[in-house]
This record gives sequence, C-alpha cells and structure tokens, in this order.
Amino acid sequence: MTVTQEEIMAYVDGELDDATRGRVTLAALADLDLADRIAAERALRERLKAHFAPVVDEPVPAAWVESIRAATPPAPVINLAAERARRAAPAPRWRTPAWAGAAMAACLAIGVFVGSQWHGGGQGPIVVEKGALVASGDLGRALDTQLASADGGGADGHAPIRMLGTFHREGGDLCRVFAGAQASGIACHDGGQWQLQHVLPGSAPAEQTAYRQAGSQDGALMALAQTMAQGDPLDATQEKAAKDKGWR
Amino acid sequence: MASAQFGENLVRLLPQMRRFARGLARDGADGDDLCQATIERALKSSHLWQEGTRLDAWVYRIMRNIWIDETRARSRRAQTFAPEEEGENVGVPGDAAIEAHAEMSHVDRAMASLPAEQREAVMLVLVEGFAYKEAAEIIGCPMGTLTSRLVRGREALMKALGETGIPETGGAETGGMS
Repeated sequence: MTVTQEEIMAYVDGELDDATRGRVTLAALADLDLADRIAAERALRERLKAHFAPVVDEPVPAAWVESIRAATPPAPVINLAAERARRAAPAPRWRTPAWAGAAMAACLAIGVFVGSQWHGGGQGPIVVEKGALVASGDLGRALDTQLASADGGGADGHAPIRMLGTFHREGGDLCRVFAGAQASGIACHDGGQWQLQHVLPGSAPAEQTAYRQAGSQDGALMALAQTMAQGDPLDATQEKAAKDKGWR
Repeated sequence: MASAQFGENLVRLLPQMRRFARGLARDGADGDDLCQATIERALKSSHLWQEGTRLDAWVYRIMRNIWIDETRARSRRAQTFAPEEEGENVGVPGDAAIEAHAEMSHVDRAMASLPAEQREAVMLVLVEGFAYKEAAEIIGCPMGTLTSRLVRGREALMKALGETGIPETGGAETGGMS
C-alpha cells in the first residue's frame, strides 16, 4: 500500500481518523522507510516546538499588560490619585445617578410575577391606532403613573411593570423606558398618547420568585435610550414634575 | 469598551501571541512590534469578538492579517526604491538582512527562508498546535491549501535542517499538491 506525504504529515499532526491512522501504523511496521519518514516528520515537529518554546517563558513587556488593562474596565483596584481626578472631572453625561439608579433598580425589582398581569378586560397592553403602536390598559396606566425613581421602578403587585428611566428625545417629547413580563420597550408621549418606539418581548421569569433579575433586555433598552435621548435623563424631581404636568 | 474579562484573557494570551509573532516576523524586535500592533487592534475591535468563540484564534487572525499587510507594504517599498539590478531579488524582502544575522540559529534561518504563506502554516500547526481546520480558518484559506503549504514548508525545512526521511524520488507522493 502507499502512504502519501500528506498522510504522513497528518499522522504526525494527529489529524487522521482512527481507521486511516491504524492503516498507516500497520504499514509503518512493515516498511522501515516509511517508519523513518514518520520519525523524521515527528522530529521536525518536536524541534520547531522546542525552538520556540522559550519565548513563552520570557517576561511579557509590562507596557503591553498596562495598555490592555487601561483599555478594559479594571477590576476594582482603588488608586487614590486616579480616584480624586475622576471625582474632580465632570461626570460623563450618561453616568448620572439617575441612570445608574435606574439600572440598579432594574437589577432587583421586587414583586411576585404571575401569569395574568395585564388586567383590565380584553384589551392588551398595546393597541394599534392610526398605524401607530400605542400603549393601553395596564401599560398605559403604568406609563402615566409609575415613577422610575420609585422603588422597583414603581412596580407593584397590580402593575408589574417597571419603569427604567425617563428622558427627552429630540424635539422635546418625553420618553419612558419600561420593562414587563409581556413586553419591554420605549414609549414616547406624543399627541396625548404613549407611542411605542421600541418593543421587545417581555422577560417573564421562568419561575415565580419574589426577586427577579433584570433581563438582559434592560441593558439593551438603556443603550437604545441613550441613542434616542437629548441631554440627561430626568432625575427623581424632574420626573415627578413631568408626571404632574401630564408628561407634556 | 472591552470588558475586564476580555482584557484578562488577552493578557493571558500574550506569551503565546509573542511566540507566534516572533515566528512570523523572523526577528524579536519586529515580532514585538507586531505583537503590540495586534494588541492595539484587538482592543479597538473587541466588540467584534463573539463570546463563546476562541479568543486565541481570533487574535491570531488579527496578527496574521496585520503581518500580511505589512509584508506586502514592505515588498512594495522594496520594489519602488530598490535599484533596478537588485529588483530581481525582492520576492522575499529582508533575506539579506536575515542572513546577516550570524547569530541566528539553524532553525531561525530555515524558517526565515520559507515563503510567508508556508511559514505561517508551519507556525500555526507545528508550533502553536492548531488543528488543520482551525489553522485554515485563521488564515482564511481552504483546508487543502493549508495542507499543501504545510507539505511544502516541511519539505523545505527538512532540506534546510538536514533531516532525512524524504527520499529524493518521493516526488510522486507529493506531486499535485500545489
């Protein structure tokens, strides 16, 4: 039988299937020349490997490690000077306490979530009016009344919808980020209605637990909100004032 | 911005990235430059890395692409600036400089004399230990192309390093690989 050069190579590299591997092994037992060629290929591989092996033991330039760690958010190691500099610098636009608080609240919204959350008769949380998706029922009520600054985004046993944040979009309309078991999204107040700008499937908990982790969608929604928003999100006082004025 | 986890995984890969870079670039200083350029690009495009896929293969692909671009750019520069009578020899740029390094070992010299495409195939499979399929993906070529480059690269190395084992008449077995 013939064993090709490519097969010898693949034999040494561990790339042959079991059947072919067995065939080559048998052939090499009967063919000294073949056995030599296999040994030579193996020796070449070992020699190259051994030649480059010491590189791995050389100390890596510290500057490389520093540049990587500087570009990736650090594990919390507190550098006092850097910390002071950070505090002295103006807060970045989207790191305001309002967003941080909202995200935090979204992480642990308290409430028991059950199947029939959207009460209020046959009407669902979202209806189509004149070609636009409009919030109705519980969702409409939640958008009208719940404050993101309240505990758990204002969620309670009756309206298990959390408000994650409130902001102005370009043009001045107020928009709100919400998350619920059936749907999550962003709605903007326009013409006296909450029009849905983004809708994602809700994040119903797999099991009914008192504590519920924020879905990964919360993060996606907050990112969307940041791209839509003009200026900072509303803080608790501003949000309350906006509610009192009917979100106009 | 890349996550801290991404950063730490990248830090852990640095020693072997450096090994691959040195093999490709044929020289310690050039290898480190290549490694640094790779780190910068990996950080800049970290959002393109898909969680759950192999970070090492991803980083090697970046390194290999930077190196190929650089090799081509050098080759162009050499062709542009070399006097005409030297223009014949620019196919493998830097050979003269490589040979001038008297301290280079046999293996370094043998590796340096390989065409780039064979050298990267040899590095990925024999030194870095990637499977053929993975190596072909890093290079972005079909498996068959990878294995034929490997065969030719190994033959050249055997010859240069004086390993025995390939009979002169073995052409029938390796024919048709290219």
